[in-house]
Amino acid sequence: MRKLPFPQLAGPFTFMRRRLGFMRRLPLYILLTAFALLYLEPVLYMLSMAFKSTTDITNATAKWIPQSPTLSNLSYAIDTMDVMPTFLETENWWEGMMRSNLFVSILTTFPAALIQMFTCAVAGYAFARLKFPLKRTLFVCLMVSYIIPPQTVFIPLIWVFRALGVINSPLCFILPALFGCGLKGSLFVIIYMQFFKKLPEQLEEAAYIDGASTYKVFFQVMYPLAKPARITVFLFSMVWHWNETYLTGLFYSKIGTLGTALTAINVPNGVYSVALMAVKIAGALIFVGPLLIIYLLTQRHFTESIERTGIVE
Amino acid sequence: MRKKLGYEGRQKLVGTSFIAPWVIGFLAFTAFPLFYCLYMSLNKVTFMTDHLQMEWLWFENFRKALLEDAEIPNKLLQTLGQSAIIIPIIVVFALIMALMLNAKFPGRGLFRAIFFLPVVLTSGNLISILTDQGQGTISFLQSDTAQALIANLSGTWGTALKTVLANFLVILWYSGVQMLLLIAGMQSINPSTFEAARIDGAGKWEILWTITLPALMPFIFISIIYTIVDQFTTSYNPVLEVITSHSRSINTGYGYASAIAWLYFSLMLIILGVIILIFRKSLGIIGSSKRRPS
Repeated sequence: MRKLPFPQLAGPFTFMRRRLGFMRRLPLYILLTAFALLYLEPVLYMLSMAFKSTTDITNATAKWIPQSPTLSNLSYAIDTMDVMPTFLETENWWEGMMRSNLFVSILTTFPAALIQMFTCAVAGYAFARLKFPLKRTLFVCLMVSYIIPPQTVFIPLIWVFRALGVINSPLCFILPALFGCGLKGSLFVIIYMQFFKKLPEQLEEAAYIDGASTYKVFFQVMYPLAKPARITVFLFSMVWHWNETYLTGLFYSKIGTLGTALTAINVPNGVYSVALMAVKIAGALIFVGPLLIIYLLTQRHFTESIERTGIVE
Repeated sequence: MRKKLGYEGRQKLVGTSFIAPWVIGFLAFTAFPLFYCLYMSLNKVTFMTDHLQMEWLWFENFRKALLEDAEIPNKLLQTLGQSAIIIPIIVVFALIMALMLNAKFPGRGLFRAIFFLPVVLTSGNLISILTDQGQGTISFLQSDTAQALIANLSGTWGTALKTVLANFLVILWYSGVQMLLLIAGMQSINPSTFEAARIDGAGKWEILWTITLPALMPFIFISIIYTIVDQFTTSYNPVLEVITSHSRSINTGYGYASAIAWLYFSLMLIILGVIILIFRKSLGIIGSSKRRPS
């Protein structure tokens, strides 16, 4: 690039160039904006519907912005979905808390996600770097367990959990997580495996020369280094545990999560169906609300997550 | 490295200690249920007060499901047809979006945040609520002119197009992870390759077809595998609903449900196998180029 003889002239020129760049990118922007609107429409629809009063729902002029916004849908949904704990005097504190679907959702989501973040790393490291008998066979097993639809194995799985005495408790998700399995556990093992494979081997060699054991190398060098993979696994595990309604519906018959409670809201056909639908959508908003907030706070980690972990190689 | 005879053995012991928890978990929570499911599929399972009564039937359940029960082959074919349409569209859509989102432009972060939002929101639960509300399709398609246009479509392609348009939300919302995968793939291509091509006078389309897409093949492959597994394991799949309902019914029970589950699983394995065969060639090329020291 030739240097401009008059630097002060660069201003208007770069401005014009930028304008030109914008014009050239205009089709891209139009296309992206159109798609963005398609993506946001359901979310905006939920937001607007949740606050609509009965008159607004039938009012065609208040399609997006409710004219008389109300919180009654939300408060009704909070009641129907048992979001809050209810305490009876005859029971202890824990039983009251377990009656809160929000509490059960949190108990199902966070411990399992935290545990998977660690245990899947152990298995992933073994597959990436260590030697053990039957490695190839076990790798095939890992792939098979990734592609098995949980619906095909749920019946014996319920018996396993019943035999272990963990049915009807979040331990149904925590216990498999302790072994590096559980909800999408094999996918997380694969993510860690790919990440560890990409790290240079010199890192470990240096530690081994210093006399460190494999355990020390893993816990003090490799696991701390896997931070991007850990963030990815934790975030995705959290999201998938939170959104799981099928398995929670099967494992929990005496307790419920926000997801199962939302499914249970039944909207019959009839006069009240419109008003009840608004309640159900308010319930859906309560269900996805925590995730939406977490996403807004951590969206950088989501959008950059897979790029950094090297899941794709 | 092999000064001591026991070195290899000790290494294996340490490796085994790392993998052992996963193997125990796999045996207890995956292998045992899977094989028990297979065993049940060959039996008539009846619930007794304190135990399960098994009656060995050989392949009777499978025969019944495939030949007598019209619903099962129908549902399986329906799933196959739907995935034949939906899966390529999801992957192609994700590819187009990834190409756009990989370009450098101001405001890219915002668009990425919007397009990856479904990664958080995609639960079968929410999708069914929104589809019930007519949010599953694009709103301008519900207008009269669009309806009239769609009504004119006929034949195989018309039906396919109708399915796609009616499930547009599903396509949009189930392509988030694939977009992430493909963008990551694009960023793994060495920028100097593009530069060299540009210097040689290659146009944008030429670069896309001769450099970007071939280099993306492994990522496209992974996206397809992910999409298949994702679509086949989503709880609102018609076959999975049949499995759940049969497992609760008194007449058919767990044995029959397990047989359908295994049929379904085999169908999935066949599709995955076909995909692997199709991509074997393009993956082979990439694989060999990767083995070169960089």
